[in-house]
Amino acid sequence: MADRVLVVDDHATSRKKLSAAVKKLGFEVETADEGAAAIQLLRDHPVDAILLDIVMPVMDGFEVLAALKADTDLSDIPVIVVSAMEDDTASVVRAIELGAEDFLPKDFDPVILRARLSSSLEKKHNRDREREFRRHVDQLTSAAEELENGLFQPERLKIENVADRTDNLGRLARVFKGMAEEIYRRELKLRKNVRALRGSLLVLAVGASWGLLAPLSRMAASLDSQPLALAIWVNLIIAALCLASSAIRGKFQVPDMALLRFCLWWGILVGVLQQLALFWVTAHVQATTVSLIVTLEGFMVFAVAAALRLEKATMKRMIGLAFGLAGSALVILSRESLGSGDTWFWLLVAASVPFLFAVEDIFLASRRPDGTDIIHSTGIMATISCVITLVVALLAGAPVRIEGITTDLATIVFLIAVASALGTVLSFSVATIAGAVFASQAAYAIAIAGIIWSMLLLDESMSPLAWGALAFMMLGLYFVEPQSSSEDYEFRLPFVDRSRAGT
Amino acid sequence: MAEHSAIDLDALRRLLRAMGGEMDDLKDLFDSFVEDTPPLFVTMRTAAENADWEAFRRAAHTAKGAARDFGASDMAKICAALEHEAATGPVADAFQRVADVEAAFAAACGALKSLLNGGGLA
Repeated sequence: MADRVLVVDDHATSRKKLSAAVKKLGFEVETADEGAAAIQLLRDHPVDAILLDIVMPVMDGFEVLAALKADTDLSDIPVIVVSAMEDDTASVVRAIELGAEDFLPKDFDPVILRARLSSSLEKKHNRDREREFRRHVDQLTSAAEELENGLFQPERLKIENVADRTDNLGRLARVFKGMAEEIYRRELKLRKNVRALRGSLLVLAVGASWGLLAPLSRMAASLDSQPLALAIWVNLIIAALCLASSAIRGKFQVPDMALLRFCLWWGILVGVLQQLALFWVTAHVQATTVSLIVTLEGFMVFAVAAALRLEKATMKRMIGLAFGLAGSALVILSRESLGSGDTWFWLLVAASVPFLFAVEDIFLASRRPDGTDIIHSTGIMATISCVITLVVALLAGAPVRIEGITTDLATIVFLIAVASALGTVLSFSVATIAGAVFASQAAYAIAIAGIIWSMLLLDESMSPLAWGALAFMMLGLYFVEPQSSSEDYEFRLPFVDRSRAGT
Repeated sequence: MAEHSAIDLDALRRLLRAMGGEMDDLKDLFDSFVEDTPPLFVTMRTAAENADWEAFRRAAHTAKGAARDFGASDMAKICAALEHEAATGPVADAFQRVADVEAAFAAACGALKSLLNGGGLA
């Protein structure tokens, strides 16, 4: 693009002569017939050089020069004063002292005009290049400071324009940018691994806690406890433990309507339905069987998520689901005698346990109000559950107290409450940190922990067929789960342009 | 040929070079000279009436520059003297001398017209 030159002269003929001469040299020309108009035009559309007449009415060339040099945006534009040198030397000297780059005689030869304009423009371009170089060095230095502080994202370093330079500074910027992106990528990978590890540890902890519930519940059932009374007391202990903990940590606060509504639904789901189902089922079905059936949680989360179109129902996942169902069928064949209708009924009720777990995973991942403290929310939820189970017991005329309680039963009730509280808080953490699909992987851990706890606490044993069933279920879970669980950790990685690195 | 002697042909040729050697552009510029210069004489008379010698000097300076561009040496000479005098104070016989400038301008215009139309610059 041609350089733009502004001609400032009050006399039309003189202005036309200068404009025509400058145009003939291949430059673009703007004109102004007085000083103030020239300054306004320059502020709107800066030019590369100015040809300025000195003798003008209102605002003469000296005043225009002074105004330009006082304006930081305009002070670098070279000004060539136009003067009848032979009888106006003093004016030329004064103009140069005021910052004019050069002078041009009124009766100039076009060769002189070309030489003076070219020289002034060359100096200006050099100054522009130098200023841009300094600005780019500053940009690179700022980017280095960001990197040094450890708080950066490659796209926020803003050195793309420096990296586009073809000189050594550009090369330095490209190397710097490439290294910054590499560091960022590694950092992101590390954080992702830490999150995955944290999620996995949490999942194991959830499994260990929930896995304990089935054998403990069966032990409680064997001591003739009433499911409803058990639920009231377990919820009461959970509420006391969690609210005390949140009070000690200074997190206790009066819940707002949004939190109350959330805890009400969560309480009905977990504190009432889940607990009662577990207590009722374990009174009739072996704890190991319940633990194995809990693996259905993984398939149920998938089924619910697929029904709600949160997950894709691929062929691989459908095969996984088939494996899971085959595993469940094997469990039933291997562990329970299927002669009586009662057994079928209780197995069906047992399936509601993983179903309720699955609904809880999805509910927690999608409905949790922002900024809620997990333990505090669990305390509120358990309080609501306690009240509901109490009201139900009173309305049904069922005993509220655990009758004939022994030290053993009291210990079991307390342990159930602790395991429930721990399991609830941990699943809440997993579901909110890692999402419902990842959280449902706790089913693996719950099943294995449940079997181990059942063997340790109840002397229950697993036949080879049952182990085979477990293997079937694990295989099924593998097909349904791991692919989508990693999606929970997906980050948008910045695109790295390696093509420029070698240039 | 006699009227051409009022014009400095070197100056006029320099002006033609500044116009890129385009005769049509030089003629356009001459039209502008013919049109824009007389208002300067009006300005000089008004300034003399008001004893505004700075305004008088500026108008004389501009007229001098335009005259030099077109090689109107006589006109430029009178303007230069007027500019010089106005810079230090009142100009003696201001109205008569402005009339002299006008006469020199008219003579220069006549000579320039015949030069530009007659191809005397070649």
